[in-house]
Amino acid sequence: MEARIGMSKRPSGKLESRWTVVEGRSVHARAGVPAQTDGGSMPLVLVHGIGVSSRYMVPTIERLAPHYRVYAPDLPGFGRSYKPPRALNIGELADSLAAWMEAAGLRSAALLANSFGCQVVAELAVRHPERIEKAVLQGPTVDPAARTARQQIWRLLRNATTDPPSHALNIARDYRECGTRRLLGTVRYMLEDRIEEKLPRVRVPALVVRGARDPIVPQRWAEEVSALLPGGRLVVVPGAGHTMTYAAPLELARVVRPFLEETHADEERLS
Amino acid sequence: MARKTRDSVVVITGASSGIGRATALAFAEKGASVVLAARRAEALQEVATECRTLGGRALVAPTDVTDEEDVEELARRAVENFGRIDVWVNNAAVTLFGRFEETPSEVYRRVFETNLFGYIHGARGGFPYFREQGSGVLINVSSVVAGAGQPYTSAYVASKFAIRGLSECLRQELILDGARDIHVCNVMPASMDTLLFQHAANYTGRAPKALNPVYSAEKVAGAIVRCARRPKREVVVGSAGRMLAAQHTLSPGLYERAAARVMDRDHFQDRAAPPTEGNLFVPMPGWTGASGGWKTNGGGSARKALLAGAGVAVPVLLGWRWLRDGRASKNGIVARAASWRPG
Repeated sequence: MEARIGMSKRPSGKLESRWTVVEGRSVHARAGVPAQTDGGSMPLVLVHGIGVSSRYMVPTIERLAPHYRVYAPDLPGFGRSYKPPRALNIGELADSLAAWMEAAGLRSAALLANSFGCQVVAELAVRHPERIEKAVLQGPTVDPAARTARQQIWRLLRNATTDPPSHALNIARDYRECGTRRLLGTVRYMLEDRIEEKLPRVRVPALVVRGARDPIVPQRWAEEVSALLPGGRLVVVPGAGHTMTYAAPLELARVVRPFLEETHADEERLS
Repeated sequence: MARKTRDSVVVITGASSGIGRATALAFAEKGASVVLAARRAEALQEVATECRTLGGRALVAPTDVTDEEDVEELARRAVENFGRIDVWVNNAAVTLFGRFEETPSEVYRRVFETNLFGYIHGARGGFPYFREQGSGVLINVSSVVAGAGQPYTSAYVASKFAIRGLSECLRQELILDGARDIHVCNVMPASMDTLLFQHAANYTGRAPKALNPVYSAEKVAGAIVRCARRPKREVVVGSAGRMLAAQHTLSPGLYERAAARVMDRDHFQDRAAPPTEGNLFVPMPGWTGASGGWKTNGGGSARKALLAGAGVAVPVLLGWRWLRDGRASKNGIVARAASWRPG
């Protein structure tokens, strides 16, 4: 590491683990400890992708914690949260996310999701619209043009070449925690889900973020997603891949912050 | 470590015509995302369309570089749309022809507002993002006249000298900061086939033209793209420029006497021109291409003579210096070797 005196603005946010009891079972979340945030600002909830946990959200939490109250829960079955006996489908995951928000004292929040997390957030917006104020969908799955396990695995492998090698470690740890049976069960639910049918019902301002090198979310699909969202728009980040929350947190924070801070002027046309 | 051009975000000021336009197209051709800044929105739209056709992403950001807040907004928009700024090309420039005493003060000042303060605003706009990223390349398009003056364009020349000085100072501050992946490059084109002369303010009574030999804007664009990839402190574009710079270094007195007469004869056409503010205060409609149509101009025999003179003088002077220095250093080595004692 070279000396960075006076130059590098490294994220200053600290993190803590929080345990919330939801319907008798404990859900784990990583949360930013805001130093200078005014407590009244809209909370931000980060939703992780398939098989993984809030672990790879840490760089993004660190970037955003100085500005927002940031929470990144582990969905039930993943990370350090309780393990239901079987894999939960997308509806159940959305319901448990809403239940966690309730238990954690978040009446509503902006939701930022990566990959499969976007499917959970779209479902949440349909089932519990009162919980969501804004949506950021980074690398939303599943592209209907590649809705088979083989195509998705092939794209996932191609993506591994764009992610930093350390992310492989995140994946290995998290997959071990959730277990193969749950992972495969969730993959089946992921492939069955039709996010394109729910997007038109997500009636909040929405930002779709695509890494220009993301092999899992081609440009055409990203454009389709933002067109299907009534309040959607698309930002493409050059050089970034599928896992921006881990590999390109600075760029993600830079495009997300102006969106989150926009006034609600253009929300009326959505209702 | 420079990013691949395909993955980089490039902000270019003065992108509506000339070097800026050619640079935008050159980056777009390599798949870069370009942010196009200039005063004329319609001209930028044209360039953006061309960039997209070439396979790049393009964002149009009408900007007046003399306005610091405008330039901050430019940087903000670039980052909001693409998440980063990898290369910032300070390029927007104007020029003014006229004898020093005969040029209006406010027009003179305006040259510095655009050429120098425009670049300062650019550096201030891009640097905070470079610092946060820990990387970035600032490319200041200066001119070979940043190393050698000429008559009738003192405002332009002084602004270009200033830009060169600014670049060097910023580089040194970056050294002190240990910011090893933030670079400042000074690109010095020779006489260019651009619309600079059509856009010029002019109080000489004569219509100016580009000095021969002229080089294409694409040549500078190529040098800028290479600089973004592998940053260099200074790059001269056009061999005539390198030759003149060398001649100026070796015999500045002789250079000044010869250059003054050559410029007086060769920087103008044989026709009268009324006084004009050119595009300094209000952008001119039309005149949007990369080329200024100066390549077809013949003539320039005196300039050729100057170049030929340089061609002879440079090797002679270099040879003389080499002989002199060689002998001196040889003596030095002999003397040091003789006085050396082990131990």
